[in-house]
Parts: sequence; C-alpha cells; structure tokens
Amino acid sequence: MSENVNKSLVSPGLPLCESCMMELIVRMAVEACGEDTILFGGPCCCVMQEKTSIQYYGTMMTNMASSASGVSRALRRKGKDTTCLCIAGDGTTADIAFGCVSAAAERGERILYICYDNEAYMNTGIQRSSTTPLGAWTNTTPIDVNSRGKKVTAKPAAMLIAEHGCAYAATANPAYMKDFKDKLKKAVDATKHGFAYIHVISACPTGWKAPAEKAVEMSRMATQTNYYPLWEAEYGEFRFTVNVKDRKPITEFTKYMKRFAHMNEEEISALQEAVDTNYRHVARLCEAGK
Amino acid sequence: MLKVLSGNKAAVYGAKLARVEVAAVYPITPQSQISEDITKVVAAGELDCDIIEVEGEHSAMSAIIGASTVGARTFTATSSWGLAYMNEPLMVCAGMRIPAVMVDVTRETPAQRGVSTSRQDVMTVRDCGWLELDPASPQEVLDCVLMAYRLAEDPEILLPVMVASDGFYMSHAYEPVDVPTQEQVDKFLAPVSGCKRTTFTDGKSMQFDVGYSGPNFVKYRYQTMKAIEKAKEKFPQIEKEFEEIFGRKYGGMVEEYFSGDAEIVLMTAGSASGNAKAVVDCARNEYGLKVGLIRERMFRPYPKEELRRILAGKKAVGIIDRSICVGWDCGHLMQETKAALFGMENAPKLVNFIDGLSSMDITIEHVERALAITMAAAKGEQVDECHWLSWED
Repeated sequence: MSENVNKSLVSPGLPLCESCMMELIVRMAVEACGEDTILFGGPCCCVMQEKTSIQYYGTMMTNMASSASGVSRALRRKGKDTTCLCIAGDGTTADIAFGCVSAAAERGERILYICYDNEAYMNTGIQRSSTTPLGAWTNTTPIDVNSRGKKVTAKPAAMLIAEHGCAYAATANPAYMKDFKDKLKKAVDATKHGFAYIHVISACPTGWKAPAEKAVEMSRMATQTNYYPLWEAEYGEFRFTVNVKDRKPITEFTKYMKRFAHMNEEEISALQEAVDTNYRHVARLCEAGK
Repeated sequence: MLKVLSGNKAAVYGAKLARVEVAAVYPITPQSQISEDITKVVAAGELDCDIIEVEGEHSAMSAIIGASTVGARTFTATSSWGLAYMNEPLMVCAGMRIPAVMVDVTRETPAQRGVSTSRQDVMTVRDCGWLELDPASPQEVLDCVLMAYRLAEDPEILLPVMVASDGFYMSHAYEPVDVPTQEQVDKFLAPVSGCKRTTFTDGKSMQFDVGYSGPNFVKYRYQTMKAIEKAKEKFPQIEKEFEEIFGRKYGGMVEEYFSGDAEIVLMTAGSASGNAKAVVDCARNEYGLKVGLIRERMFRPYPKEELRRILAGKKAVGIIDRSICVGWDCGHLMQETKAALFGMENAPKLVNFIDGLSSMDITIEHVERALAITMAAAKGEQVDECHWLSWED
C-alpha cells in the first residue's frame, strides 16, 4: 500500500491529465467494489499500482480477463468472495484482448470488467482504436490530402459483450452519475453469479482536443445526441436506463472537439447516420425485451 | 501399479498425483490428449481441480499465472504454435516467479505447418526464465512432472518448470509405466499449502507484477538469474529423495551411460536416447570400443559445470540435435555445449549432427554414422563441424 493513500481506497492525487474522466470512473468503481477487491490494471493510462490501498495485479494488455479468470477461480476454491475488478481501456478491451474478454464472458467468470472508452490509444499518444468514431482525427487517422480521419464506424464493443448473455452488461456515462452508480452496484452483485461488464464513455480532453472544463458537459451531450445511449442487459435482456426524448443533432457533441473540426457537412451527416443506425439497433434490442 | 501409458497419459497421471488445483486446457496436436484427460479425471471425481477452458494458449498461461498468485498449484500443457502463442505470458510467468508446471509436447514450429516432432519449439523459449526438464520415456514424463513441482515450489527457486516431452515419439508411444500411489506422492510432494511463498492471501494490500525500472529492475533480474542457478544444487537432492520413495533414478541433470571410461561420447536429449544407447551397447560389446553416451536431462539451467566434469579427458563428443540454431549452422545442444566447454584445457573435439526434424526417425544407422564421424574426428581427421544425417546437398 502506498503511503499516499489515506482514507480513500484510491490515492487523492493521481498523475493524470486535467479533467481525465477515467480518474472519476476508477474512483467510483473501486468505491463500489469496496476493500475486499483485487484491482487488475494493464499498461494504459490507468496504472493504479501503489495508488490504491486495495490489492492490485498488473497484467498485460492482452491478458487481463484471463489473468482475472485464474485469480477468481483460485479465490472461489478457497471460499472467498473477493471482487475481481478489471479496469481497461478500449484498445485493450475492444482490440488486442477482445477475444480474451469474450472468452471470460462466455465462461461466465466471476469478474467485473470495466472498459473506460476514450475512443483511441491515448496512453501511447492518440492512435486510432476500433472504438474511434467515424471521421475522427487521431495520429494514425490524420487529416491530409489523402486522409479524412477514421474511415469506418466504431465497433459496438459493449453490445457485442452484452450479446454473450452474461450476468450483467451496461453502458455508463460519468455525466449520469446516479445511473453509473446504480449500474456499478448491480454489476458487483452480478459477479456473485457470473461475468459483469460496464462500458463507460471516458472523455479525454487531451486526446479529443477539447477544453478540459467541458469534459462533463460533452459527456452529457454524448448521451443527449444518442451518440452514447445508456442501457443495461441482464443475461442478454436489454433495456434503456436513460430515455432521451428528442435527441440533439450530433454537432451538439462534436462541436467541443477539434478531432471533429475538419468534418464538412457531408461527413457530419455520415456520422449522424452512423449514430442513428447504432441507436436504432440498441432500441430494437431494448424494445424486444419489453 | 504398472499401467501401459503414453507420454501424454503419464503426464496427466503426474498432474493428478500432484493434486493440481487449477488447470487451463486448450487443444493442440500432439498435446490435446493431455487437455482431454485432465478434464476427464476431474469429471470422474478423481481430482478436485478447476478446469479453465480457455480460448487459446495465451490465456491458458495467463490464467494459471493468475491462479498461482492466489496460491493454487497449477498445470497446463501445450505444443509448438501454442508455445509460440503464449510467449508473452510465458515471460511474465517467470518474471513473476510463478511456480507453475507445464508439459510441452515438443513439435516443429509454425513454419511449413510442421505437425511433426522436433525440439524446435522449446528451444525458441530457452531464455524466458523457465527451467526445462527433458524426459526420455513416458515413465520419466510422469516422474519429471512430480519433480518439476518440487523444483518450481522450492522457496529458493520459485520459477516455472517446463517438462519437454517429445511429440509422437513419447506423447503417443505406449510403454509400461509404474504409477506411484497417492500416499507415495504425498510423501514426496507436500500439498501446495505447505509451500511458503507470497500470495494474494497473505495480506490485504498485496500488489503483483507492478512496474520496476532502473536499479530495482536490475536487482530483480539478478535475483532471478541466481534463483535458476539454484536448481543445479537442488535437482540432485530432489532426485535422491525421489529415489528413496519411488526406487527410480535417472542420474541428475545429465544421465551418464558408460561414459566413465569412454573416449568417445555421444550426446542426446529426449526420445532419441534409446537408439543411441543401442548403438553404444553394440560398439562396446561387439567391437570393444570405448564409447559412451550422455543424455541432457535439464536444459535450463544448462548443466555446464556438470558437462565440463563429465567430458574432461574425452577425445570427441558427437552431439545429436533435434533442432536447429538458424544463423549458427548448428543445433542447440551443440551451441550450448560448445559455450559450456569454452576455455577448457584439452577440451574434446565437438561434432554436431542434425537429425530427427519433422518426425524423421533418428535411426540406429544414423547414430552409427554419427559415431563413425565422431571417431574419425577423435583420430584427428578433418571433419565438418555440423552434419545433417537425413539430408545431403
């Protein structure tokens, strides 16, 4: 345990960028899990070794869910209910270890897996990941004569994991804190029976090229525009937890960020189309569950 | 009890008798039978063990590392591409000083889709920090699995151990195997709870695999290097205890077969040793030649001091390799033995033979040819340093 850690389970000062939403996500998650928790962290922005008073296991990007599977199995054999909490970014979750997360979900491992999705490889310096949105600038989707940002739409990682039919899966947004906290509680409970997954949008002012003081505001807009709908799924049964009556145009979300600043009208309408298509898909799943 | 077992089945008996608590399984030829049988043993209620049916070898290794940090005794098995695929956590396993045991059923590596025997796969991971034991029969596979846990869990070693069982030649060859009783094994190998090491269950703020850099990193690597060297001291002690309980012995890190008075020595590892012994028998009994054999049984740590002792005063050593050091024009046993003997006074002449790649048999005829070339070298004739016994330009 680090001497930096006082009463809170997470150190009061963390060396993260200004207004990093991931910090808030980690604090909420660790608080919800409580003292009897092993936190798994990988080589990403969220390296919590010596920054938390709960137990910590550093994994590789590629094996967090499988490492936690082994830990969880061995703990259960000893009759222990210690929560196994994985916190990983989108690069780890949706890209390099997607198969590993999928397999842990399929096996129903008693793990709470949280993906903080800042929509690119931020720790290595803003390179595109599979959850980077259509058209967005990153250092590997540049804006130049032959390139107009990311060419394809984001991988719907949260839905794909929820479709495993795992005990609990949800999307969350720190701008909807009560919703997030409710979901954390349900997810922790679900780990008594199986695999729980929360995909949290994690605004990254540094990587999104946005003003730090707008981090919460633009996070809220992500949901208000249906860019980031909030739902949960218990054993594959979907339902919305936040209903957005009249969705705002996507520009209400993109306007904060320079990563979208190059987009012309046509490109914006392509992004709008991608957002609406994705939303209709989620809505169909939620509708079917009624 | 005497049973007719293959190397794979013997490996599972080893794991079962070692009372493993968490095993990760994923199929790959020629290892799949191990994954199947350990699962069946658990299904039949003969072993209380959690089976993690992973989606690949990378996760197999990761899961057993995880289970081991909680204190469980763990087991997995792999081969070839699977070993290559788990390379990343393989290094982490040794880096974290995890006392895991894995059976690698040796096989060619992915190039040319080699579904056939060689020892190429294990050689690609020789610097990962794992100990490596090289049995030569199904009986020895079982015995090595038991000894592997003793080595791995020794508080002065605490490193993972790989038991490299030759694919097909041992994995699928059935031989009589004396399966020890659980009482005997319990006497030799205490339950894992008796193994003193740091785990998550020790306190409420344990942190595993945290980042180190600079002097702390160097210190940690230095300690790891010293720990693996300890195995050279511990292995003979462990084998002695093994012999007292089970009545079998193999000769430590290097098995010697009529090498004491021999002027010419052949050197092998694994399943090829049977034919090599037959050639030694024939050379001694029918031709009165002072020929012997040494069989390398521990590849990591490499028994260099032992080899210098055994090979002192020999005229020539014919080293038969089942893997190739691409870029060195020799096999791995050759490269390592050459390094081990470097600077030795009156060192024997070393001649290398590449054979048995891709399930080609290392035949009696091949070994005889190797012996003839080694004898020529001993007489001072000029011979090439490396010969391919089943291929000529």
